[in-house]
Amino acid sequence: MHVTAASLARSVWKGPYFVHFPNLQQCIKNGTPIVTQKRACTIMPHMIGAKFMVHNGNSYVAVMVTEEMVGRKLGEFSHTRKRFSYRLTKNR
Amino acid sequence: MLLLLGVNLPDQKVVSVALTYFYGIGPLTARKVCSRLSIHRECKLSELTEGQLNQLSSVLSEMTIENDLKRQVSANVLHLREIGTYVGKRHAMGMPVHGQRTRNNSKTAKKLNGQWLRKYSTPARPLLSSPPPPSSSAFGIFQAPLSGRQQW
Repeated sequence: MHVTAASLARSVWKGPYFVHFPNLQQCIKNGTPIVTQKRACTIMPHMIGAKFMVHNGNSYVAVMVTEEMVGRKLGEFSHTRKRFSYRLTKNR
Repeated sequence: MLLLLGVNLPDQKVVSVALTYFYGIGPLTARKVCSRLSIHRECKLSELTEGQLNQLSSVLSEMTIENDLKRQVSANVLHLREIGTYVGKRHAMGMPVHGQRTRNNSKTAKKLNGQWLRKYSTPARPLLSSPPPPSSSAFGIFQAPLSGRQQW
């Protein structure tokens, strides 16, 4: 009935935004992780089974792509915020 | 009071207003249902004939409202939680999902988000594990909504 915000965000004719990883098929076969900073890259069906190390601004977080993740972005799986925990002293 | 599909509707109210007593029907949807059944604007629920009521219930039974809709929403959230997205994590934490501030306020999210998720304490799938875990053993609880999702 209503057009969702997600489909309003980008023109349909452009298709989903994704990055071409040159040695993707090889990495899926070998199981070697692909280190990337492209958090906005949409997970496409041909990426299923690949391992990614997605940057979260601080470190690279391991993301195993499964079938259910297709259509989401890589950055959604690499969280950027730590949970706050109180420390008595700062200098530790 | 009139009992329709398990919901008590107030007799003395205008039909389009009374329909909003359903979970999943707001003012707009209620007006659309009314115009589809050609019920005029100021018609009260008590003024409907038996035939009109039957039509109304048949239209409503086709829509996803009440428990069906609630189940659909919770299954969607659970799916997001299972695959380990940021949105699912925020739901489980009971925090606002769309990037609102959390220094203060965010009362609604704390009240509503992920209450049922926390009640059963569902852990997220560990993303770091190299082989995908066998779903039957580790996530036996989730099998029911997962298999049901295929049909929608």
